[in-house]
Amino acid sequence: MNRVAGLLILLFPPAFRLRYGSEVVGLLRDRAADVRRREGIPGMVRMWSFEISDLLRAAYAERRFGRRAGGGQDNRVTRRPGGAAGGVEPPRRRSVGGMMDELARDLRHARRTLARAPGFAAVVIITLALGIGATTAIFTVVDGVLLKPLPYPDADDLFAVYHRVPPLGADTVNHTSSTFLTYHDENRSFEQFGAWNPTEVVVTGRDEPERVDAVAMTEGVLRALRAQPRLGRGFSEQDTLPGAPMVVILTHGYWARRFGADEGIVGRDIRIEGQAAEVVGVMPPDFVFLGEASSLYVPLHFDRNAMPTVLSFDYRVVARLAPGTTPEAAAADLERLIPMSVERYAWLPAEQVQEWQLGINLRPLKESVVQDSGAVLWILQGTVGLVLLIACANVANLLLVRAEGRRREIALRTAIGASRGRLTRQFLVESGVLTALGALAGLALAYAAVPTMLRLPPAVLPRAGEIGVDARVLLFTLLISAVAAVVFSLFPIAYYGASDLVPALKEGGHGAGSGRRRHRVRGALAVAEVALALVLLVGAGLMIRSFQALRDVDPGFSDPGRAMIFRLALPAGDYPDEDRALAAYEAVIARIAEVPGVTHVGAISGLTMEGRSNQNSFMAQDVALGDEGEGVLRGAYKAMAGDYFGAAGIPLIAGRSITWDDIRERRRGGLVTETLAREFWGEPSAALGKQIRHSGDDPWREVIGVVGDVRDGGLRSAPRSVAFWPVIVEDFLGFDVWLRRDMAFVVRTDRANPFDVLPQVRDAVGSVDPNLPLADIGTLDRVVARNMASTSFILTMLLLAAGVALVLGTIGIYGVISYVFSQRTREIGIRVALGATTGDVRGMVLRQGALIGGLGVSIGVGAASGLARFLTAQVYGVGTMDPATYLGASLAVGGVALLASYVPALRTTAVDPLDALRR
Amino acid sequence: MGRRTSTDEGSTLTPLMFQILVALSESDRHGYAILQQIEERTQGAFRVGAGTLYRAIKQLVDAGLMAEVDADGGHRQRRNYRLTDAGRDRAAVDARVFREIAAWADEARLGETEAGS
Repeated sequence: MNRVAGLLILLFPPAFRLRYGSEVVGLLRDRAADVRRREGIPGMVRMWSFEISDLLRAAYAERRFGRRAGGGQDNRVTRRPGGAAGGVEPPRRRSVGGMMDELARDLRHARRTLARAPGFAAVVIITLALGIGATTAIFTVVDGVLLKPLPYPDADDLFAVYHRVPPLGADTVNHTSSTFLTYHDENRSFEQFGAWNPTEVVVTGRDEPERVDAVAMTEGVLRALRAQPRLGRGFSEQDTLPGAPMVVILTHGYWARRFGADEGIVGRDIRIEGQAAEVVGVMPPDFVFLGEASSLYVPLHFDRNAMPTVLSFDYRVVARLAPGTTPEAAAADLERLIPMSVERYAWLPAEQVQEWQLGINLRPLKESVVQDSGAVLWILQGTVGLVLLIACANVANLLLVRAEGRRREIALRTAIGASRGRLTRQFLVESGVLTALGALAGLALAYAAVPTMLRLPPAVLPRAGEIGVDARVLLFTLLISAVAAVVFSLFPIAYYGASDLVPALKEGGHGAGSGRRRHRVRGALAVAEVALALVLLVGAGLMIRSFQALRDVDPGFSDPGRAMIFRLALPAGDYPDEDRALAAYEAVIARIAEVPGVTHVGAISGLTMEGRSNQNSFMAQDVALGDEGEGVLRGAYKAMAGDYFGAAGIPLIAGRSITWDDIRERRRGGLVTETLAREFWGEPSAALGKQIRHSGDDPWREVIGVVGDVRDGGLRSAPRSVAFWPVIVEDFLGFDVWLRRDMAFVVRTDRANPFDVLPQVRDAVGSVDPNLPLADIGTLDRVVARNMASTSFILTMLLLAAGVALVLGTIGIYGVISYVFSQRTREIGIRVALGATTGDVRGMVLRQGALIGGLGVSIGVGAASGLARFLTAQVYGVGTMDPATYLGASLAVGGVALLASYVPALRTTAVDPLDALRR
Repeated sequence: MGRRTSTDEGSTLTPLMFQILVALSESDRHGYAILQQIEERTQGAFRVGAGTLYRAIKQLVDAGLMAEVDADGGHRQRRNYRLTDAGRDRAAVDARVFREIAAWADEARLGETEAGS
């Protein structure tokens, strides 16, 4: 509390603050100590609420009256006789000061009025806090991810450069080393042109060996981003040349964590992938690389004299447009260079270039970083916007009900001379006070909610590091709050404006004055709430059905909860030849298999759904697909070792798996998935013994087994064709020997918690090589969960929104119905006196509820069917017009509407006719 | 109102300012001690907040009716205040005014009405 006092002191004018600030704070501290001793916590609460309001008052008074011209004081101490006489307030003028006075008076009035109705104020504030809080929280994320420019100077000039291949329907194809080098060397449109590639490296030597995320890049990348290292230098062109000494740049976080922020690190060597690498730079703390969380940067090496002939689009390109160049001109410039790249490096047969109609696609860098998360975030922003609307409708309704109750007061004030403008201002101030309090509470909610959202995986939420409640967010909150306040105060203002206040005064605010029109406005607001709640419920329902559908998708492996996974890499420096690497893989797998509780263990180059999959073509010796010669299928290949299929729970349908002998003897054989087998040969068993390969230059390889399908592209996409090759393959895609140095290990256990065996697994790996770190430890279950993260995120948010909407809608209907019928007590009394039964009266009330519910549901269904198309990309296994969902949501909302009117119905029938008539 | 000719100052002090001067007429005090004294003498009927207290102190110091004395060796959070001669005179004048107002209230039997209600 003392800190709060310290802040409030800041409200005083500086002169006062300097003279007495510390004394005031000191006094408050002494007093707080005394009060606490004598009266305990309740006394403290009383004291602080008194002192805080006193500080606010005194600060206002000091600012307003504290300094007068001529150095004199406002008041009685030095006032000369015959000076301005008497009055406490200065003469009223239409000046800023005068307006401040009026505002202060309105504020005081508002405080008093609201203090007299604490229940009303609390409901309004909580309602607004929910609406404003949710909207602010999502806006914080939307702003950080979608709206803010990337954190680089002149970020609008930055572009991601892709190839376009119209016949394949692809427009974000990356670069081969050949295209990159040609464009890099010859373009005339870019200031900087850099290639990069996310990767992982093992850092050894200090402490535990560690596998870290890294980015391999050419010198142009950091230069394009205009990122200056905090210490040392960036990469130079020399660093990327073949045979250049290995260098490394550390990110600030990694430098601080691993090297204790040692300022003398530049120039020293660390060991990366078993090789010495000199630290040449350390990045500043606020630098983020394109949303990639990485620990260090290493140079990409290109050898212009020994370019790979394999067609592999591995490199991403970021480029800064030269001043005065348009993106269109730059794209044309690069397209001009495509034939030159083919001529120079022969990376693609010339006729293929024609066939592919290869072109260039420049995409603003931000778009390429943010990717698809935009759709999800805008959906959520829309969702919480609806919640805010419902909240406003609810508040408007509450204000109207209250306005009704205050007709007499208003009529009286009008009668004694309050102008309409004055009353309007008074209402605006009241709404403003309520909104301000609601917005404050909402901000607190948002502040608490944002960190929870940041735990989402980067595929759902890129740029997470740049998200936070900042000045822009505060401004946004201020704006929506102001709009909300104006919108819902219009209702009571319009109400008073339209109603004739004289009867109110005459009749004591009772009876005939409560006209149908006003009931209609309130009814319309309740209908709107029901309709909006239905829209949200339909959205939530569609996502629930998608979630269920995804849950039911067979990921291809069984019982993933019992399979532990981790990644392991064999650095080229420590394992220079493939026989040693193979021996290490075999030893690691054999040792892990000996651990008690482990039933199967194997390794794979890319786990299903992990997004590390490659795109390749398949040809079968004996099958002609399409027009000419060998057929071509698209799919991925993976490298495996050990009992991967057993460990992942992928069923073997025909044939056998790859043995260590197969690998050691470099036998040309592998397994294919059921889909691939069916595509080529119609039946899994027919595939055995057949020959396939990826490119015309490779030798044929035999299919020795067929396994069940895996959902390699994620749960939403159909199973792809996949071939599984041994971890070491000869004459493969242009490589003499191709060895995967980086494998994901899958360890199946008979334990409910597979991590029980983790310590022994660590020991087993350590007994083979103490320098091998285990990375990305998890379970197969988590891979599935991560794949569903975006769906479950939208689902959770929509469910939350729909829940809040339902609660608010219920309050709205309940409020309207019970108020309308409390006004009609007299009428009901007469009806009962004339012989209406309990059932008649209840029916009357329920009919009113059903009318609101029914209208709301029909409008809501219409609105939902219009809005549901925004969910098209997010739903799975269910149409956006799914009748069951609409029906379910309508029944739920309709039921809630009836329930909300049932309680008032019960109460109405308790009316004693005589009593009602006497009133 | 016409009797206030002994000083240049015009109207009456606020009750708070008056009480501050009275509290200081007994001895030098720091802010919190002034406040405690006021609350004690009025049996808690007169509640003063820290902000209001120091606004009044500032005005009284500026008007030369009281002054700061650094008794605690310049300890800024507990500065002591002392009544000036002008302040003592002014308090005496206002004491007479307040006494007369109180007497008037007695004549009007205000106290009895209050006691009776």
